[in-house]
Amino acid sequence: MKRIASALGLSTLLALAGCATLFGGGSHQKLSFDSAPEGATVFMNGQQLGVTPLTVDVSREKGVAFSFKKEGFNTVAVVADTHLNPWFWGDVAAGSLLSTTIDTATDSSVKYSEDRYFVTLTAVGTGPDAAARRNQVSSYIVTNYAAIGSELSVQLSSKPASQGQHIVALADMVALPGEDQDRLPTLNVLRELYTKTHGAPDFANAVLTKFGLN
Amino acid sequence: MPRLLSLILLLPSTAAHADDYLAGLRAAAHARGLAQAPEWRALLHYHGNGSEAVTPDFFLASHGAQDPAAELDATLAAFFTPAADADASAQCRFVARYRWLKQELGFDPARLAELACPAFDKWYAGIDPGSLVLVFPAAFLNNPASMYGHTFLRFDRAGRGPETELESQAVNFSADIAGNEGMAAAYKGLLGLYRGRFQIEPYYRLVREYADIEDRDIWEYRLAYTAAERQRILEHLWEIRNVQFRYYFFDRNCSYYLLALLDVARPEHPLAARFVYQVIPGDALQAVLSQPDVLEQERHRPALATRLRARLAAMDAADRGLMLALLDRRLAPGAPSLTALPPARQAAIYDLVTDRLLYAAARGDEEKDAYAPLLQAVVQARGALPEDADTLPTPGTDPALGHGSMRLGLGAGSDGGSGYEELSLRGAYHDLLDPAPGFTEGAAITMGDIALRRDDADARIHLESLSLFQVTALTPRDLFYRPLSWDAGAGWERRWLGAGRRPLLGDLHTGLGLSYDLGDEALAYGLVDATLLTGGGIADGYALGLGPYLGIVWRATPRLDLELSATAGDFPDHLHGISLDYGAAANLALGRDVSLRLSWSRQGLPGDLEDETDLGLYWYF
Repeated sequence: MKRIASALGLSTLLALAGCATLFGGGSHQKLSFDSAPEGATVFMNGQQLGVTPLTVDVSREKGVAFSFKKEGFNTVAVVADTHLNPWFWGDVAAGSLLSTTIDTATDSSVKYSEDRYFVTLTAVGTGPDAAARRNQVSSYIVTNYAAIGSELSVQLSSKPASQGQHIVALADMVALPGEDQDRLPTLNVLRELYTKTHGAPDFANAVLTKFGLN
Repeated sequence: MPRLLSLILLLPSTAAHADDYLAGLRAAAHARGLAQAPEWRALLHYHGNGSEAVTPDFFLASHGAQDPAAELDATLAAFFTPAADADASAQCRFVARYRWLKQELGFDPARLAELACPAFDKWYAGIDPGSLVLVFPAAFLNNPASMYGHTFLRFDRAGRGPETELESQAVNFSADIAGNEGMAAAYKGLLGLYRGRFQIEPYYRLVREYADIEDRDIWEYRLAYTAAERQRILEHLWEIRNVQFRYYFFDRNCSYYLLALLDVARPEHPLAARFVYQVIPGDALQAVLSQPDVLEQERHRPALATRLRARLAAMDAADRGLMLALLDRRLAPGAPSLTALPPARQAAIYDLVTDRLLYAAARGDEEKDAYAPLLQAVVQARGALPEDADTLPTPGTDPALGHGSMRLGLGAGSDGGSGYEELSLRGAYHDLLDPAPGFTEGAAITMGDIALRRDDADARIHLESLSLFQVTALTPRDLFYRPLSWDAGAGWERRWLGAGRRPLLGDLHTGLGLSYDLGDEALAYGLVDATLLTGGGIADGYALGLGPYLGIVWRATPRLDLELSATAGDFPDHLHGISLDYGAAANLALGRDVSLRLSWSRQGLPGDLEDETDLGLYWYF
């Protein structure tokens, strides 16, 4: 009984929330794609759009299939669909309950900031474990880029306690198993790559290349 | 192939012996009543007369979901069934069942050979349960599924330092919701139309989602579960990693199944069975921590947004000016106006600038080339200060200290000059005046709140109010954050409408506005609410109105909370005037789960107002 009463209560509010979608939100949304490596040709529902990095307009109303193709690499296909925005109540006020997002269940694509996606391509012939590691490293970098950058900016030492959790995790991911006793050399390499590059996709590409995660 | 051939050749001669041995094991299991043992029921997720698991493959007997004895018989038989691939054998699929039955029945390896399970071993080594941590991300009011907080488990690897926590594996129970179900998702979750399952994923993903994106503080409780207990949990997790369970938003949710998972380790004192109608994450946390000597260590991982707010609130105007000058690049790190300050103040300024840059960067508001040079310079200037100059505040209150989420109230008072006694019961969870420890400041959610009154004048008992839900999210605005505050509610309550009339009216309202932190634990808010009233006491049966809702909440002492509030609703077509309601209330916490509340309010139409004074005692459980 209690469950039903509560259900009725929330349903009423949800019905109110439903009304909010009438007032706005827009029918299109921009999505941006980067990839590792760059230069993948992007197709939307089979039609060629351009080469990564790329920004495209998608309809909020129906599913859109994207594919990313590059010679020597396996094609990555992702589906953009319209989801209930997780910022549920806040968007009731803003009038845009629905947003278009990519289904990231495949691990080869990751959302790393508002409407921006990073797609990891894997060379043809790469084994499943190596491909999973490559996807893991690139998605980790692009989603934690700001924290990684801040932790790489301090004076690094061999003391684990002085090393930030985000860069320790990254060093352990790119190092070979058993090489996590002294992370300082790896952290210094990561810092050098961070300093030289100009953003999350760029840094992710550089790390994958440097540590042979291809 | 030769292995398979030898298996087939051996089959006739060994079958008879195996049958005898199986029969003996079954008889021993029956004699000892193992099918009703709490360990076996926990492994099968039995609650009452049936299992909460709904995946048919999880059961080896055709009625295994309703008959634990049949499932035990079938499980024992399956251990004898040869499999060409050991990983597909019952022993390797049901590792926890096998090890418990082996321990209870003392399997003879000569007659029931133990198999190596390479897939399980690889999976287990990848998680490596060196210690067990219960993780509690605080409430997030912008999403109905997270309004009460969340709970999940984390396994930290053995022999690794705290710097590697982000690499640990987390075990999270969630409903299987297809991405595009929209509004239907909420209905289905409430009505039990979903299934849920455990997912194992790196902790950094969850920290990113909860702390970085949703701005929720995370609390981590390291639990003193033994190595054998942790192993049993993980072995069972392997058995159920692809198994679906019934999901209900209120009582078969992430927290319930987390408790059910822990019950596998300590079945003799089950935690999940303590909950009947609802499992609220804060209550589940307290149930876990109520076990003797269970808490080894507690850690607070404040969200970047929380740190920023706290640092800003603690900074005086002069230092704020320096901080903004740094952010605007009008001042460089290490400038004389900064180095002239004591190290602790310099550190506070640098830390705030760092957090602000990180917050903007993590949201993609600024590109690296724009923020990185300043970030690097600030971090280096901060690093040159003495190490003990760290000024990181630890804001937020431990959810383990929160009051129980249900509330029973007994009160008495006077309304319109007539005395009354009141009995109230609330299903969940926290209002703005309830004892604050453990709850997010300015966030109130109540559901299923009913009050019955007996009027002294006529000695009759009537329904005073029935609130289906009331959500109030007062997020203060500051220099960096400009969130909107909002509220929404639905229910029935009695209202003075002038001329001595006080009918029970349906009330549906929602509003938007702003909140500001006044310092010293005081919060001021102002919203504009739209309200729909319904009921026979109004002409045409309904009235639509709009008006302000203003107030101040002040935590005067750690035990005493005060509130001043006022609402005015203009219902032009039906109430012939402006409906007013203003008053004051004080709540004194007598303990974590008991409080005393005194309130006074004045309600009605201008020139025709009635006073209400109430004293209530509340018990939280």
